[in-house]
Amino acid sequence: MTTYLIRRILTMIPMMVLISVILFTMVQLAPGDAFSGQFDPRVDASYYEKMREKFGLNKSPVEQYFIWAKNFVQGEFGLSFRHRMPVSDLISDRIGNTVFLGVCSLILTYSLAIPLGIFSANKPYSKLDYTLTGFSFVGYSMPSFLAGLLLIYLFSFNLKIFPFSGTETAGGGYEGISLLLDRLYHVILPAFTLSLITIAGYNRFVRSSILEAKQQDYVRTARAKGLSKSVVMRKHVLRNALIPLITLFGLDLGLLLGGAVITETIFTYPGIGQLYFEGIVNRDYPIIMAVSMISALTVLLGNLLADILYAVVDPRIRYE
Amino acid sequence: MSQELLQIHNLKTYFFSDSGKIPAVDGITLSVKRRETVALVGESGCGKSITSLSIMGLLPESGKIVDGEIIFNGENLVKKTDAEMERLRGNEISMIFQEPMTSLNPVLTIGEQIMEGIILHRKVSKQEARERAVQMLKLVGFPRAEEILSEYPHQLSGGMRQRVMIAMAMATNPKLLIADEPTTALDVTIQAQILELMREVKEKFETSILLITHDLGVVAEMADRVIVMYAGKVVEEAGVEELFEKPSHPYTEGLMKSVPSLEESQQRLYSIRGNVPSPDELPKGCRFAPRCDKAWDRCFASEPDLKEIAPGHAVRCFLYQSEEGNEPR
Ligand SMILES: Nc1ncnc2c1ncn2[C@@H]1O[C@H](COP(=O)(O)OP(=O)(O)O)[C@@H](O)[C@H]1O
Ligand SMILES: [Mg+2]
Repeated sequence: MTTYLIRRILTMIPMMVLISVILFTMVQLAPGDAFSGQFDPRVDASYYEKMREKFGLNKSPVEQYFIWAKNFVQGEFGLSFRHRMPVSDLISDRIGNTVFLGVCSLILTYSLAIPLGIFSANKPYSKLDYTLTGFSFVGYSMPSFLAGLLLIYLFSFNLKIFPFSGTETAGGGYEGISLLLDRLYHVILPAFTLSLITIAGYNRFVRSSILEAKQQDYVRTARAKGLSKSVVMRKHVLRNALIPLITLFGLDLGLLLGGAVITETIFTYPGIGQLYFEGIVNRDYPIIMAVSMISALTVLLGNLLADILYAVVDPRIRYE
Repeated sequence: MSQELLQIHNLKTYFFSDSGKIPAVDGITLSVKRRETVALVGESGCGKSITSLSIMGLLPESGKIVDGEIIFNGENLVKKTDAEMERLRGNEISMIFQEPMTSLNPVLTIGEQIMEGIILHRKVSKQEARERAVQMLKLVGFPRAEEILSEYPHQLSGGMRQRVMIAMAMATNPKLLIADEPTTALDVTIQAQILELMREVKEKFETSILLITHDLGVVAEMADRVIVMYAGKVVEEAGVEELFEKPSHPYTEGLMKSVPSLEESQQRLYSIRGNVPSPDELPKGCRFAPRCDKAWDRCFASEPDLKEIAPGHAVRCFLYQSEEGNEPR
């Protein structure tokens, strides 16, 4: 297992290099740069030239890549053109918010999807099952910006229950537990928006996984032992049915950041997703590159985690 | 205490679907005495498994016992509640299945799976259940029983898993063991070992066995009495020697002839022509008539009754029901 892990981690290095080359190429292929969008008549055109010189934008793309890569591995993510600040500072200011949002959305996903899937599987083809299927279908197919806007409209403007932006009450001066509660209060709508698709998808997944497990021979064996239906469900069916979900957890982790871009932007929630969105709008490529690389790394680590978790929960899986 | 441990009387188990009712088991009567091994034979699709699941009360949801009674140890199982059946299952009546590869839960250890039944029925501590599990595993032929306890099913071969199933089934010392094709999925050499083990276990625990199989070799080796089933009905019943000496129903004869024999090197193995009819499209008259070489007009017109032709030997066939005015076709 240890050698397996080391091998897996080592193979991530060439993958990250490849990803960075592709990303860099895409950023270069996009027309314009950070300064081509700024038409300020008071500023002399030569100023932009000077800035391009300063940020190395006049160099050849290959040269630019190596400069970027050299700095990147040393932990230098470059200066944001827009913010005139080191990208690493921008990220470290915000990454905590994104992690908090991600964790809350994962908790929401699993604490809702599993029970809902179980309800459905207990009475398949019942009214409850069909209702949940319907909601899941809508939830799954609704774009998250629309879901976010609907939630804001409903819960913030009409019902005035939840705030629609920020991470905490401005000037609230909360500390400790009450700060946490205040942050939870702010994160609920974005977290729900972010988890809507996975809640919708996973509860269907849990349902069909349970229905499939119920058909298995070992369930009949367990019943033949005299175990009641509920014990068989708990001890035999659920354990088998939920194993694939645990591996999805790792894969899901990698996708969170992508979802956070839209969600954080809609809720003006200051995380790295929102930073990324700004970066794209402003063609601020040090930001785009840095956040993309973080995202790629979480995807790879998420995949690795998925494989590790699989081996932990399923005795049939062993890595050499 | 009556001599009969299990008496099934006129059992009818039907499936209900949108296209109507399917009589999978259509009025069978059979009995199993204490310490007796009764073989239930017939081709695939004759209703053997559904008969056994009816006894266990583990029918699929669309299946229902619509008539008849199943008297086990003096009590009618058809009338029992779920909770009462749960107390009986795995305790007084145990069952082992055809597929040892899939009959054990892949994510629980062998120990957990054997112990859960013991704890449930014997109300003992985990430690005691563990000891019992080790004892049972040794009995079914695992010298390193303690290690097996913490292993998972995928680490064992098919034969070993079937041994585990037997250990699990016998751990509570049941009065009746139902074995549904216990060796069908195994290699021939392993088959012989498992059959030998079942015989040993039966002696040791004084258990009755209802052995379901389509393999007459297994029947000859294991059974005291044989019940031949065809399309949901009993067509012949006899002691094992009597049956092999004087197979009387054309279906039984056909089954006998299709067993590969070592002495005569037959060029081609005999097989009964046609297939078992599906229970939702049964022929009129005798259900075997369309496949029978000896069928005559009457066989297609009405169904014969099960008639005793010698003590303990009953056949459902017009050949043995002398009535005038009928000529073989
Ligand atoms: N779940 C089911 N739904 C409908 N019909 C079934 C079902 N299970 C079995 N049957 C019918 O019952 C008949 C007997 O099946 P079974 O008892 O499994 O045969 P076997 O003698 O091979 O064990 C089959 O031919 C099939 O048509
Ligand atoms: Mg069967």
